[in-house]
Amino acid sequence: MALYIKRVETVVSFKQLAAEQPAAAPAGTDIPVLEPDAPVSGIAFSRLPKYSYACDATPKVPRISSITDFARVPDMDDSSEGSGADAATGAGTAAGVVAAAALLQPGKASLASYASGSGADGGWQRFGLASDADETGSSCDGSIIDAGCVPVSSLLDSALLAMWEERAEQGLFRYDVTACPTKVVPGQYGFVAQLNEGRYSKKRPTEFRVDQVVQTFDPAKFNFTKAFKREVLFAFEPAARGAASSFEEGARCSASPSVVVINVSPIDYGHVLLCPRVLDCIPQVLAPDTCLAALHFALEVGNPYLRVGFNSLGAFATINHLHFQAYYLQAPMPCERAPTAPLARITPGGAAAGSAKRRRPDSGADSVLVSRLCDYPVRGWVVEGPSLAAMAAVVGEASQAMQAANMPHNMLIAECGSRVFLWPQRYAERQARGEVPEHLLDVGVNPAVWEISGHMVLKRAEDYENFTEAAAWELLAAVSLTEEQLAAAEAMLFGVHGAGRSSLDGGVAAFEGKAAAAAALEAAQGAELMMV
Amino acid sequence: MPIVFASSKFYEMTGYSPDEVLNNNCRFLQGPETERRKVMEIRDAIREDRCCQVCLLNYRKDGSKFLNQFFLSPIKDDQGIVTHYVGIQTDVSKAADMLQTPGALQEQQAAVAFGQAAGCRMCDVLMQQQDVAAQLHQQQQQQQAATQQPQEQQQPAGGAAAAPPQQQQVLSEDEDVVQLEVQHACAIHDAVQQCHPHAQCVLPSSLLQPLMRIQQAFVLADPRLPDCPIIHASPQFLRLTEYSREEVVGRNCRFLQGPATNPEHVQQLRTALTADPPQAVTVTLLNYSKSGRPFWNALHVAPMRDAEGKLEYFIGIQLDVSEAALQEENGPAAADGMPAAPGKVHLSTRMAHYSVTGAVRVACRGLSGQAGGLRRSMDCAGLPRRGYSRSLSIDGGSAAAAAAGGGGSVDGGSRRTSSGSGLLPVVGTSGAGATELPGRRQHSAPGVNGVGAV
Repeated sequence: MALYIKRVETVVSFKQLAAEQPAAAPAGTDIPVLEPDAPVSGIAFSRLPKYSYACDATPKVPRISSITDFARVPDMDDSSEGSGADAATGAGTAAGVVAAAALLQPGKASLASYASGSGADGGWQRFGLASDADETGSSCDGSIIDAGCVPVSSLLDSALLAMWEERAEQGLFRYDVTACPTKVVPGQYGFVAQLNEGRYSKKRPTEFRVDQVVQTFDPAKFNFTKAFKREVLFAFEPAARGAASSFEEGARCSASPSVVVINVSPIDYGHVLLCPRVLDCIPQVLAPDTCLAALHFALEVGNPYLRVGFNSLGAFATINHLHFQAYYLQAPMPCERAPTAPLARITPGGAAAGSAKRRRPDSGADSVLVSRLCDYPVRGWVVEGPSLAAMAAVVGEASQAMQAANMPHNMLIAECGSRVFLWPQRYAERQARGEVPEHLLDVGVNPAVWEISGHMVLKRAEDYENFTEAAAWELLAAVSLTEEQLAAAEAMLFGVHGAGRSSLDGGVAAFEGKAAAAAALEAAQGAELMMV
Repeated sequence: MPIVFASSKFYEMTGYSPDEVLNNNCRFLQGPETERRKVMEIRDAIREDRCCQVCLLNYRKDGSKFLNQFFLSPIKDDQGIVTHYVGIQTDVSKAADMLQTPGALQEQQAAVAFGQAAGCRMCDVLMQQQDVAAQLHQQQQQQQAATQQPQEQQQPAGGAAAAPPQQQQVLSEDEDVVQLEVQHACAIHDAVQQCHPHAQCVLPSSLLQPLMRIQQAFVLADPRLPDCPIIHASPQFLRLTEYSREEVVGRNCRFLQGPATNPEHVQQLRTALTADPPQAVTVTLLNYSKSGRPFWNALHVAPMRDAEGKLEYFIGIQLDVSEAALQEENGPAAADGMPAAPGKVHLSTRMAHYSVTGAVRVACRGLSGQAGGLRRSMDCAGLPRRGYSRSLSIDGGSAAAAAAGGGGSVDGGSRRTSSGSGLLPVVGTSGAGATELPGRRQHSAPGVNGVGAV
């Protein structure tokens, strides 16, 4: 018997509220621009702003083709008018920044400075790292850039904010999210609560199947090919080999572009959805390559207050079409404050998901650190690593293992791509079985990745007024796997045996072998979950 | 937040020289293995204007690592405004090695051990550094009070390195006050680079930090204060208009208008900003710099809300589009010899306007006068959290009005808006909380005509 719950889905595109299908998209052969009301399905080869991100080992000096009015962005600290010899052009500050840059670690992507006001020559600066065009070859490959205390606004950061603000002025959102009161709940972790009555659609609840993490893509249901073209901000594509990141106002997009679209029911400012290869109609599952695209997105924005999140089916994803969410919140997410205990160093390999061969001794530069999140209501893992590719591989493979085990899970990319949180969850299962207390259900919060991270969007004013850290804790505790279940999952995903709260404790019972671990996992979750 | 003073021990510990350190951010000590969560804690402590203590891995100039027990504390002036942050670094690598615990716990245990042992000493050092910081601040204020020239705040020609030696000279007499310099390095970061002549115009760090990141000309104006004065102006704005900060902060933006400014443009601004709710508006109008030079200003003004959703500020973003105007050759030249305003706003101009608007929206979302917005209510180490100081000199009923960036009458100067200038009280009357603004532009709802309804 399949498990279902009734849920009202969040409206992410106005198309979902529209009564009928819009008219067919005009043929885009010689007219490359798609009509704003046309569906995204016709977007191939049409004209779209495009952000190309560098993903190669040795980026060259970029050429910005169109946005020329962006002022040069020196190091944040040199913004005072008193710190340069030449105040007008900030040339003095450039000197100061170059001096600082020369001292920085070599393993960082670097781009040439961009002169303000002048033409398209030269690149642009990121994270206050100025360099001459021939800075020592940095192993980019998505290596983590030092995010620093307060990073300088990157080009993608500015472009994303600008386009989102423009859409807001055009009235493309269902409500003004900046009018929704928000506060930090008193307590150590600082859970963030928001009163948002508009986010939840007034449509009747429909039935969602929650016990299948992998479900086939259904073209009849809403998906992002049906969203309106005007809700698309830009395409987000890997740059050519050796090229550095750049932004073009109007480029011909590919046959299957990855696009960034607005969420018309935003959780907070700048809420967008990254849809990799949107026309390929990939279901809502993680894989190493799509995870890498999301990590690159976080890295390119370079703002620690923008996180990227993912919900699997059964973990309160509302649409079975691959998408990641991202928005700005100028506060740490409570989960980012939680301490971690190192678990294992994993080298991503070609081994099949769940294989015990996965775990290898701490090897070289490519090994990723997986830690256990401690002192936090939802048990999970934190993945930190030397390069985006390695992290994406580990997270993607772990997700595939959870898909195989039919375990709903959520993922959060924080700190500009240098920390990834991964949580398996059980709330929907508990809800379907009637195990969630009534008062929690009344609050009406579906614990997806943002709630698990600590950002609670509440529907009712009384919940918002009286929200406490204890209430948040109670809700999230119902989401979490138990200790035994998590340990079993660890064994399966990371091949870690005998790991409890801390690998240094050594005081937790050990599981022996993968088969035993998998069996224990199934037993712990309850066999009935697997039945159809 | 640049470093304005560093003890000699700091240079020893990190291997950098004063030229490299002063007027740079301490960020350069971080590296690939520095734990991100610790960095976040420091960042958040600054955002919340409180102290913090973390033990994290830092890198010297030559790339070698050391374990740094880092203590950060804000220094406030007599008005309770944070002016500096003091950072104290202690190299605990050797002691940590001696503890012989596996890697990850080393940091925590070292932190505990040294926190306890050095606790009282930290306080001593802190007190002394506070004296140093206070003297530094005083000295800066004296410098600023001494002359009235607009360039007084800029370092003398010769680059960033010139001024710090001055400061160091003054402080060298006081260095013997810092007895524990031998054991502890310290660096003093300037939290408030700019001198704010008006107490009510000082902004909390959580807003000031993001604002300092924005490399464009813009101002923030406070509609809740009388005549909607400017409370923050970016360095690029000051450069564009040739005014100094003291001449700008606390005044309404209408001083940018001049004889040939078209009143219709001003009226467009007024209409949008005095609407209920205030609307964002983009207008290109003629403004004048301090020296009387006219320029075409593509101005975008938008209302900003705080964490409670109430109107908090207006932001005005200026772009000098005079060159574009010259190129476009739109019709006959105006009386001052400049061609008419550029016909269209280019995409990149719009992007420039909107990116600043968006960035400041995110920052303002974290603010709230009473509740502290997105800052936690708990204090660290018992230090009182600095509240956002805002002058409450609003006379009941008479509201702050006028736009940022040129609204208002040319002959203005009256606080109470008269019918002649046509400015109506905006939200914020009697300070009893702004009118709840339901939204910006018309937002589509299902069934309502407008975008989205099919």
